[in-house]
Amino acid sequence: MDSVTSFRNLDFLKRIFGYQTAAGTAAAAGALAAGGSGVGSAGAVAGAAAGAVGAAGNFVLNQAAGAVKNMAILMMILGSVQFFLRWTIGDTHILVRALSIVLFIMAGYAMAESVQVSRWVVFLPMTIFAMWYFVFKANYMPSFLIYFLTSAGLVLVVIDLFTKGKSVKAEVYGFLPVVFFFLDIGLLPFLVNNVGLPITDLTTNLVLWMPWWAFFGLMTFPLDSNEKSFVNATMRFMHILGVLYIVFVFLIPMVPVLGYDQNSFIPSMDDFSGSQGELRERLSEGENPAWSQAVCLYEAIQQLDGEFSINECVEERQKLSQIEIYCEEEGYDKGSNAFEICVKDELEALEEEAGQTSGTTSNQLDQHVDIIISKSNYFDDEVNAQKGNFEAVQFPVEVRIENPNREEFFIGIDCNFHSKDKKIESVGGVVDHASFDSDGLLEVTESDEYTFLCQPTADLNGSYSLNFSTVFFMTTTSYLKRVFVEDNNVKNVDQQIQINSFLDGDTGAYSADEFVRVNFAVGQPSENPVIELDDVPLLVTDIANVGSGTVEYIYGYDLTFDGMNVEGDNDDCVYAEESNFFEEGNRNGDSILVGSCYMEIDYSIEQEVEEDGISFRIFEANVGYLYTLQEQIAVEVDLR
Amino acid sequence: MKLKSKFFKFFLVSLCLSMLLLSSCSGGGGSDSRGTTVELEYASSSVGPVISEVSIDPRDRLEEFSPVLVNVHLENKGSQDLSQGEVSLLVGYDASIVDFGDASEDGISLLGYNDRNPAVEEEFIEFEGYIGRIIEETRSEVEVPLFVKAEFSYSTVLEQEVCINPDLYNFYDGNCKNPDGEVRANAQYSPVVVSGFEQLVSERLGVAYFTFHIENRGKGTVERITVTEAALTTEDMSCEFKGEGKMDNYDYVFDAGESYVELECEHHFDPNDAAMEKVLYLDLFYDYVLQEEVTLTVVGSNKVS
Repeated sequence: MDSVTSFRNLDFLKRIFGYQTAAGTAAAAGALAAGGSGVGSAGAVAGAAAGAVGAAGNFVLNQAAGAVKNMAILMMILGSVQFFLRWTIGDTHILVRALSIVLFIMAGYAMAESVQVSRWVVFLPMTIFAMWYFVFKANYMPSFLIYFLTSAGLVLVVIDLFTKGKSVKAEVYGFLPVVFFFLDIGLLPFLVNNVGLPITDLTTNLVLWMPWWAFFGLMTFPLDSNEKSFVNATMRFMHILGVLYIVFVFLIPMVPVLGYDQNSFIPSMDDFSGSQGELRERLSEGENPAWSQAVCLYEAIQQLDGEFSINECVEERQKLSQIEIYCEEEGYDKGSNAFEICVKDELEALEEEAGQTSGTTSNQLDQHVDIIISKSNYFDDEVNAQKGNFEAVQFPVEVRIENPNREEFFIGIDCNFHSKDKKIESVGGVVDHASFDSDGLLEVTESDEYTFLCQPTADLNGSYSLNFSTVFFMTTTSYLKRVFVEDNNVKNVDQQIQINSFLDGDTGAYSADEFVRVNFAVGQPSENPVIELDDVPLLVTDIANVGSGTVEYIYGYDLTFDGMNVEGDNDDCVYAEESNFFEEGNRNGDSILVGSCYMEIDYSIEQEVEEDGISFRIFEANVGYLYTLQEQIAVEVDLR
Repeated sequence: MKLKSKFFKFFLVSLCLSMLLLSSCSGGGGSDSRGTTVELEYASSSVGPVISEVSIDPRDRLEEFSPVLVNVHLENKGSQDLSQGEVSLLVGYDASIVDFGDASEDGISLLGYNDRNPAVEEEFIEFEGYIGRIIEETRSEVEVPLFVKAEFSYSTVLEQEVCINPDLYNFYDGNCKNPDGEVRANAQYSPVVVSGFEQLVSERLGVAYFTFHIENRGKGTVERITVTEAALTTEDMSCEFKGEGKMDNYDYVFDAGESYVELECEHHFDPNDAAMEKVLYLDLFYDYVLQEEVTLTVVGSNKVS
């Protein structure tokens, strides 16, 4: 007799010992055996006999409990292997599928042994499911289901009658492996992808990250089966955690109505496993959300001040873990100072990104102003000078101004000589030119090239950096393309072609290659270039230094939205005058978020969409600013 | 006990097997029916109404603040009549770049190219517009996509001889002279075609089932399709669409990107009848949209090269 079979013959043991439950039977049998051996002389024979029977029963039960334990351990091992294989060779690999089916069958055994019910009856619901799923290809047509479910129900009822209702419990247990089988092959991911179940990312993660068969093995692992109390306590704790996990997973929002046109509601294993793999790929690496949840729950319990947000905590932990993985991949050793700096920098970068929008420089906007400072061909890096005759020292610097659109603006020119040697004093410089007006400014109206002579205001002696700077006031315009459509209409193929042709890749603000740009984005979310009429678009505006110099002052900015209006009174997001937004010494890449607001779509756009089904818009944003471009040129003066 | 256990196992296995048997017989299309699949020929995707030309006058590269003319040539190369036609022009850019006013012409009808009308009918449409300024001042030239859209109603008619033989044991198709049938006077010169159908005859139920595969083989998109008539010689069939779009009786609205739908029809007959030769007739009416794109390059003033 093998151990599994002996354990199932509990009726026989119950009749001998008269106990009700399996655990009780085992414990009592052991106690009886011990008690029996200690009976006094009066009942020595009877005691010995009882003890012998008890010892035999105990042996049998220990063997049986061992079998359950072995099965549970085997399931945990194989389940873990299968879970590992899913990650390594893919969800759809034949080995993974075969293991799923093997584990499904093993789960039936484990279930039957664990709760001590008839193995055959436990297997019945599993067989019915397997027939429906594999033989009948999960046909859910009502005409078929009427026959099938009636037949299946009849079978179950007949068995219940035959066993006088004792098999009901076993039948119910038989559905548990079915549930795990579904979870294992990715039922929930499929429902998320195809049915759009309103379940949270967290729950999705909890399902995907769980090796379900190993978990099943854990839950069927017999409690108090070990001599060491520590192991037993651990197993009890794991069981409690397991129950909590299951409860959490199944506390998902209820599915309202599932309407399907396809013949088979439940897809094949290919569909299941495929979608499970897809979903897994979509999830970024990081800490297991279940662990994050547990840690945050613990922190929440500790604080108990009502202000602690578990969701935020989980999000933070997830973000941090992803950054840590990124930094590790970048080659930083975890725990090192460089690693900490990397994490800190990435966190800061993320925070900056979160609040601001972006823009690009468009090569197609080629008719823009450009100012290029360079040494003249006659520039001499090493100069000999006579003491007191500093006016004779001149450094010719060339300034080429590209102004194809013939914009009118003024440039101020300045120069000085800066010494890196602290012992040598820096010296001022003077620039003069015949084209300067009475204020010493150069008026620019077209493209031209100028040569300016920079003279020191005192004797130079040694190495200097000639700082030649141009300061100018300018206005730069940036643009933003947006498409307006009816609700959910963008799936229309023709319309998608129109949208792609219009956008031509420009989904954010773009400007010519100038110096300062208004980066702005409007939509729902603001980066989305397609706005539906019932959207409430959000406008986010920032101003960025995109040149190679320094922003001295912002004279104002003005965004024009033909067909949209700002909601509310605060119009910082579209207009402001004279504000000194930038700090001194700012440089390329620095930007300031100047405002965000909700916009409303007005009648003109609605009318266009009504007539043509679509409306295209290019919005403009102007910014007026004072900007400094500086060129540093090394010079050497030998004073005699 | 042992005997009881064996009996129990035997009983369970028997029950499972009987359930398998019961369920197998529940399909409704078991061994009492016979089916055939007919693949139909259809013309190439360019057959049917086409926008054969879209041109920009005087040329497709023009300066700001100048007039422009867009010419559209629409031809009906299909066998069915085009009705309720409307051709419109959409500027795929900010509306201020080119103003075409009310750029649409409706009420277009073009007879089909068939026995009754041995000529391809055509329509020429002109849209006059005026180019404004380039919005992006720093741009020297801009490519403006222009979309010409032709929306119209069209139809597909299928006539096909079929043999319905209720007697499954008669493999020689009784009275049917032409059991395999051929497509009669090919009516598939249409962007939407019946690319094939399956015929299933159930002797037990006395029903002939037809599943038509209706496909958009043209270059445009089909929106609403309606079954105008589905008959087997003179007897109407009851039909139902099977697809992912919206359906309402004999109307079906295609989902975005969907180009294929099945139409299931059934015809009831007396199972005691001998084999019969019938003409399967299917008339479909649908809304179709063709779109063509041309690019107008607008150059900043004094920058035409």
